[in-house]
Amino acid sequence: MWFIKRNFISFIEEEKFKLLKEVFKKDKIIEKETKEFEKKEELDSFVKEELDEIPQTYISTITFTLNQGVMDSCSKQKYLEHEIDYDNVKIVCLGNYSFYISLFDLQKIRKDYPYLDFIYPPFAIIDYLAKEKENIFYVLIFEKYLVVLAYEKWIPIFSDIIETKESEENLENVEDIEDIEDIEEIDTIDDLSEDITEDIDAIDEEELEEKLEEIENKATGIEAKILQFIQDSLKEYYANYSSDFIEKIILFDTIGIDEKIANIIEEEVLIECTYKKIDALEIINRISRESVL
Amino acid sequence: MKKIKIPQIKIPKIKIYGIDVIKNFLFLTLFIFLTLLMIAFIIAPSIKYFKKNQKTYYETKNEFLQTKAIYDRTLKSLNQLKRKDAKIIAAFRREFDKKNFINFASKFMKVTNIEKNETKIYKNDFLTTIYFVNALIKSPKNFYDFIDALKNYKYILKVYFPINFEKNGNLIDLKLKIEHYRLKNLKALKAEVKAH
Amino acid sequence: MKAYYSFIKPKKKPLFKEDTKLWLIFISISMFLYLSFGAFLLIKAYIFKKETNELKQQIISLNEQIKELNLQKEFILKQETIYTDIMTKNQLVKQQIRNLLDLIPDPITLEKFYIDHNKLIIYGITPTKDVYNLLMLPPLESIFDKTTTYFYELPNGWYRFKSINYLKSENEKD
Repeated sequence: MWFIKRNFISFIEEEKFKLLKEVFKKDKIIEKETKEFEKKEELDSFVKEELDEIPQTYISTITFTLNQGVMDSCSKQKYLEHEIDYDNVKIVCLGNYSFYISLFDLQKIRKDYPYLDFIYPPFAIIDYLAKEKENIFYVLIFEKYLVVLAYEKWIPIFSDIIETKESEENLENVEDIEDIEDIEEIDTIDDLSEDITEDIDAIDEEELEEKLEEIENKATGIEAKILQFIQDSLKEYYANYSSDFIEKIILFDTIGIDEKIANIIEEEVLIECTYKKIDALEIINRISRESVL
Repeated sequence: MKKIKIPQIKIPKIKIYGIDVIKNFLFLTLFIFLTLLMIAFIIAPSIKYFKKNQKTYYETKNEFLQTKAIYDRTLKSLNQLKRKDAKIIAAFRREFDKKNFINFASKFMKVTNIEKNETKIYKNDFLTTIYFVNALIKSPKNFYDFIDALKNYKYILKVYFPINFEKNGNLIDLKLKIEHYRLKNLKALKAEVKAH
Repeated sequence: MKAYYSFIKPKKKPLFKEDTKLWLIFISISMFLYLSFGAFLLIKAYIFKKETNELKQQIISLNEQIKELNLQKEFILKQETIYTDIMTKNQLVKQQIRNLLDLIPDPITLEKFYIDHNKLIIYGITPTKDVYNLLMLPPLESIFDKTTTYFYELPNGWYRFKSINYLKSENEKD
């Protein structure tokens, strides 16, 4: 009905609670607001107020629990083959592939946030945005998490999530990278990469140093982590999932890192890489809105 | 529904004990407005229309009752009249029968001849037929009794001039004219009476 | 294709807030009551109107019937009048004849008389002309406008007479 307001609120729990509120009247957005909360109580009370104010308020979030993933089928058989306890996961079937989450984790989220209407896996954002779906690697970048989803032939067959600020140790490890060569030595599998490293070596080292410094100046070293993550994921992908070569890597960035990351990755893994800045909260709201309509 | 462009005006929120004062006030205003609108455009005209019809109904009803009373009275008086004049009414409906008359008259006289003469319309609704009667009587008293007896006779007969008395031995030879009265249009009248 | 990625289903959301709902229900019920009251009145009014029309129709038909009854009444009265008139006239005839016969004095013998509306002819025998002229003529003259008498002498010296009497007026004629 034309006079009914619908309020879509999405939030993600990272360093802070980031929240986006969009109020629609029919198909028109009439109010848009972003908020950040330090504490869960603040979020709870805000949501409560919103629910009180506009009855048609839908609350969505993404869960970053590591106990979730993608399966290239909806069948129980397939799950059992991959040694996943079919009875203890919640599955969202999307035709010939599905996302799953540990029931226990899902219950925990629902208990923590009883007002939630939609709980999405982070892969949903990728799957929603993905247009090319043949031998493509999608990487979704969050403040605290990195998410990968790989499509073989129109079907996502591989997924992974890592926490980037998990522990100080890890952080230090990354920060401690003094030489890119070290990484290369660890990472490169075939002789081909030797050549690449050679090439990279050939590039002005100072320049590289500068780049690194830049990265380090951001105090996160996130680019390095992303690179590392991609390399690890590719390794895993080739080893366990598919023998087809990945043709393209697409980065979806939700936090606003340097666009040059695409170039770095392209140089490092020798796969075409594109970068795209996205607003995860807005996309979640969009998905929720389409589900409700 | 047609979409109306409403400029986005932020209505300030004032809450007292968790009750949105402005919203409730607006709803109350809407309610009062709609109520007044309903009264003005639906209830008031309805009442007016209703009262008008009710008034004419009772007026008509009154008129009807009066008319009905008149009808009843008229019918009653008509029936009384019919009862009172039943004999007369019946008599006017009978066709004249000579034999019957001779028989009736024999108590008073000896009818020697009876002759039918002309028939005329009388006062639009009646027919009169003249009969010439020749009879023998013993005395004038027979004649007087005959006339008195006509009152109760089943036909309406008028004894008519000229009357001729002539002595014939011991008897009197009587010549007289009688007129029989009856309704003109018997059949039509019967049908009409039945219809009522 | 719509994609439903969520692990859970959204809760049912009411369209309106609780207090708004109450207001809307209250206003709707009020409007409904107003409308039904209006409709009730209109229906009632309609029924009144219909009945009024029926009554009007009945009044017209009653009036016609009354007219008819009055005609019948009049007709009966007319018959009654005629009847009474006839009987009265019969009595009158009887009376006239009786009067006439009473008029005849003893000495005079009547042989024949003819009576009409305005005319009386008497045939009779009288012992003398004087008896007739004294006893019979005066009352005849007093009744009739014109009286003419003819005498024929009989062999025994009595007189056979014929008296013709006229009334000028034709009052008797009906």
